[in-house]
Amino acid sequence: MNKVIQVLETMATDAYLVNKENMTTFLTTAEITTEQQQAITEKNADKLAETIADLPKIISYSQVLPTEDDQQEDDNQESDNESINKLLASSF
Amino acid sequence: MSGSLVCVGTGVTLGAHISPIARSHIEQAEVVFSLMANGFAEKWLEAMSNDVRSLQPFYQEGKNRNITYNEMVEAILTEVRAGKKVVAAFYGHPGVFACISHRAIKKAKIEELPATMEPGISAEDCLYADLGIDPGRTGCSHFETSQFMFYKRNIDNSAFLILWQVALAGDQSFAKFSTGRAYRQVLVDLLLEHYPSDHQVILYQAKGIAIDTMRADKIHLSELIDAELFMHTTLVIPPSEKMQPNDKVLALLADIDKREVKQNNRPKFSLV
Repeated sequence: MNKVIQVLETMATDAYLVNKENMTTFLTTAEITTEQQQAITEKNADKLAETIADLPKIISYSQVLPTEDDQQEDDNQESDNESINKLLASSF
Repeated sequence: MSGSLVCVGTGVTLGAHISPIARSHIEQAEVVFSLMANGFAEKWLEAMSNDVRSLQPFYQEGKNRNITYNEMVEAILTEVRAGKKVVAAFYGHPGVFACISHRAIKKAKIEELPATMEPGISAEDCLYADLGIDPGRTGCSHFETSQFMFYKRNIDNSAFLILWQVALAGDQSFAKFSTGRAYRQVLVDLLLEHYPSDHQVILYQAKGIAIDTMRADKIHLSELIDAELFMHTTLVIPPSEKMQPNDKVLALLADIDKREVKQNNRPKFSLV
């Protein structure tokens, strides 16, 4: 596992690290770059993200649709837009 | 060998929320499909299994999300049908505001393939803890924001109203990454039928990773139009009215109580 991801996981799972001093000590011993240490201390997720070269860009939706029903689960994808439009039209 | 599917939740905060059984399923799976809320979580998941496949590439701006979700379901089920031990890992709870796992499990069961779900800590769970809200105190209703707008709802302003995915308010195309001011105005106007414009609402975002700060911005309802919203921002609307007693029901219950007392006080006869 990427070291900095490991650090994030440890921070989230070890109650000992809630204490600021313990956290500082932990960071100095963690095998991460100074930049990463700084980003973590500043609680700057964007800055931390920049230090990881292959960090995937993520689109994060709630996986829910406003007109969710069985009709939409039809495999025929071409008809999906049509059925959604019908559902919407009937709702007004 | 028959394939199987387990849909697991990894929780909201990386590392902090995953259950032991969810982790074990991920570690023992032959194929893991992932849909995480941030890049850190995706990298974290990648380290748990040799074959982690992100479902992210299915998302495209302008593409109907219903199509996207059906494609994701098919990608998952193709591997189950091929006899693989498959795990689909979703951030939060795999069954809360998460149609993919429900669709995949339903379809798998129709095809007589074993499919189950393991819960995870959801954004809703985090919301109660972070904002100090007990949904049992006044009641609480939850809606996906656009659904709340598209359909007529009975709004109870003596209970909490929580609107998810508020950044996508009013998107009828299901293909946008955000909607603008005009759409939000419609939402605000709808809410103003039930709440005063200066009613204090909360913009909430849970912590995705340990260094994130939970967002709980308090604004007036009318300020929602220009507020900074992200895909994971949730609108929390506290009650604006006190709960009103239902006198009719209370009177009926009082009658029952009286009858019960009368029955209990009646002298008891026994055959000797």
